[in-house]
Amino acid sequence: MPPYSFQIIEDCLKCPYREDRLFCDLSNEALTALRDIKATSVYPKGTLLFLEGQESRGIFILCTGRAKLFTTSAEGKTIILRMVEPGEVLGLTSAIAGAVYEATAETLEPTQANFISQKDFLRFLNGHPEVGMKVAQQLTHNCRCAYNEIRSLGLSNSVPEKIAKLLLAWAEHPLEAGKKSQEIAIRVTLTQEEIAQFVGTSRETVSRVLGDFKKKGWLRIKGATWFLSNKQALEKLVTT
Amino acid sequence: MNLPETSSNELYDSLLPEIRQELRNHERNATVQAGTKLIAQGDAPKELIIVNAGSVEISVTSGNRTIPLATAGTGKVIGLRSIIDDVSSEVEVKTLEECSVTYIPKDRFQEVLNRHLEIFLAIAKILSTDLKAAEYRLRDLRCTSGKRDKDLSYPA
Repeated sequence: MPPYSFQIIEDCLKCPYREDRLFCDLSNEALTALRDIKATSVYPKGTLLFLEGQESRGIFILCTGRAKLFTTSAEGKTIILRMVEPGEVLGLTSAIAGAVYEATAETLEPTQANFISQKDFLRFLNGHPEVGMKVAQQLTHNCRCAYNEIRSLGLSNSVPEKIAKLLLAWAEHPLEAGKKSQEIAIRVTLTQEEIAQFVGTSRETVSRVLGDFKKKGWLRIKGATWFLSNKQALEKLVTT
Repeated sequence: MNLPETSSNELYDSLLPEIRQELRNHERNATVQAGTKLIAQGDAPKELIIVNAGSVEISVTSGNRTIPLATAGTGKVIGLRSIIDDVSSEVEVKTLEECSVTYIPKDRFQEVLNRHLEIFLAIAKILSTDLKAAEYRLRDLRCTSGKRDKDLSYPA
């Protein structure tokens, strides 16, 4: 019985998700070259893959599990910049620019990641032009997410609207088990503190808004599984 | 206004001379007035735009509200993301003053791109810089929204 609830995939050529993931959908030749330069590891929840301000060591391709990318303000406040999903690459901008990591990456659950040193990655990139295309597509995706977040955060009128937006975004990837019922089941690995860091408010406010959603019958929470009971009501909150 | 040659910009600077020449064959230069919308949010740009002189504002909008992201000047290349992913633009780009710009039709650019995949590496470097700028803006917004956002109201 493996210690984690997922199968470790060592060989990218045999990965069942390879075609569904932006960065991993490479030719056999490129994947073979990738296999030779990557180091596969499994990290427990809470592992810091790299730290803000640390010299770039390389990139991490997330195979299984999720991570958060966060930074700290001058006042010492933690700000979550982005949630990173399986198939995404961490540390890309720093590796390309040869600069320090701009944020800290921490795993939110047991995670398998492939690490590639900066030197090997740049050589891989120069030797396989198709990889450059994948990198550009990944960065395009990341830019789009950042602009959408900026729009959402800067133009949302209230905290309930911001939290509703977050829940609706998560509802785009519902749990299989919840697909048959009227409710939408989602898995939430963030604490209320982290949700607050993500929408830019306090934990107390998040707690109050979630309590309000529950009271209105829009949301049901059972551990890490949350059920959106009234998606329409949440959508009505979203004005931007 | 004289139209300077597109000798130096964030894309061409990373390309081989022969690729630069191929792209130059498809260029069209123009002067645009201050306040011109070079790219509208939600539109799919049909051309790559290079700012040769002058400055532009990049912003995201919703309805009549705008959040400025950055001001860019000479050498800025606009419209790369839409060309790569064939999606509509998430940002708006407006000239802040009279600008000299170069247009390269999207289909022509893609033809050159397909012949020289190494251009993607140059594009990745530009997108990397754009992403960093966006994440800084996001950091600012997340940092300040907690201070000003006390609104717990629900729409009527």
